[in-house]
Amino acid sequence: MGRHSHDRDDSRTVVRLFTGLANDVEEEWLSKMDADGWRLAGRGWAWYMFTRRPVGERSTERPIYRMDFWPQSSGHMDDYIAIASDAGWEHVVAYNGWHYFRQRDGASEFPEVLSDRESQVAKYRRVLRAAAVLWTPASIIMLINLSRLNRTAATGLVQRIYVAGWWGSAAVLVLMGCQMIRMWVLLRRLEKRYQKL
Amino acid sequence: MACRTGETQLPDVYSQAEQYVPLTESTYLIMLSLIRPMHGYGVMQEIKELTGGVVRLGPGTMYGALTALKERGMIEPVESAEPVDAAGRGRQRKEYVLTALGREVLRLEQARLQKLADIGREVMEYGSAQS
Repeated sequence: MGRHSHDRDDSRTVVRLFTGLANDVEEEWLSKMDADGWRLAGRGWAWYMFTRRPVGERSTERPIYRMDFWPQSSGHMDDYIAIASDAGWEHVVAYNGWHYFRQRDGASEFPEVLSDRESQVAKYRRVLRAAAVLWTPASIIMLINLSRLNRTAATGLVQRIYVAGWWGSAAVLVLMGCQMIRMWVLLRRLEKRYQKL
Repeated sequence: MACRTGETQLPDVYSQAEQYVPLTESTYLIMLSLIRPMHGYGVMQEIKELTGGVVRLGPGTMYGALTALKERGMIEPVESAEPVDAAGRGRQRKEYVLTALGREVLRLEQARLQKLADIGREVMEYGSAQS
């Protein structure tokens, strides 16, 4: 995808739609890509850029990727990045409040960015709040447009594009809704386990 | 407002401090480390040492706790002249220390934990609390 003659073996772009809500699955995927020789270098709306890991470097291990979410406090992220760097985590990329960390080669530190349940719960809450703020008005707009969709006869090209766009957006919103429910279940489970102790 | 002799006005921190207790284990240990000025990674190492490696903090937990403590006025940044980064990357590490409120919260929490531990030991050793 997007290949040029000079970089076809060194870089790669993979289209993949992750909303961030299934960040545990995403972390696993990035880790597997790295183990296969493709190191995360950047990301866009629905695609990920990878660069080829130099041969011989870290061939046996499976590097750990961790994502954390801090929507507004970008001003203080330098502190986070500095602490993470000291603790053996490389800040790979920031996208829409999501921060991707990769544990450095040979770093013997604790293999988690978030080490206690309280901070994991806090992260899930930040993610769910941001997702709800995005999802709720978007869904309302979609419902308003649904009635308009039914009234319009999909004959012309413009209407067809409109209808296709509506269904595409609806699919993304349904996916997001399911993932929000999944994350909420995970959050409840974390909190319940905490209450029991 | 008037100060009587031999009695200073109670600072606001005493009434504020109670709402923050109990602390989480991580926050308690972080505050304990910040009795003296220290930067984030220093705190992580200090906690590892204090607990003999039993409690290990991740950088995200560390950052989240520092942010929350700063917001609530329990810690404050310290101006440090010397660059902490030995690798010479020129990046300065921000150091923090407990404020008066932070020290009071830590004192309350330590006393609470002490009391619980004392009661626990008395009950387990003598079958009932002694006092």
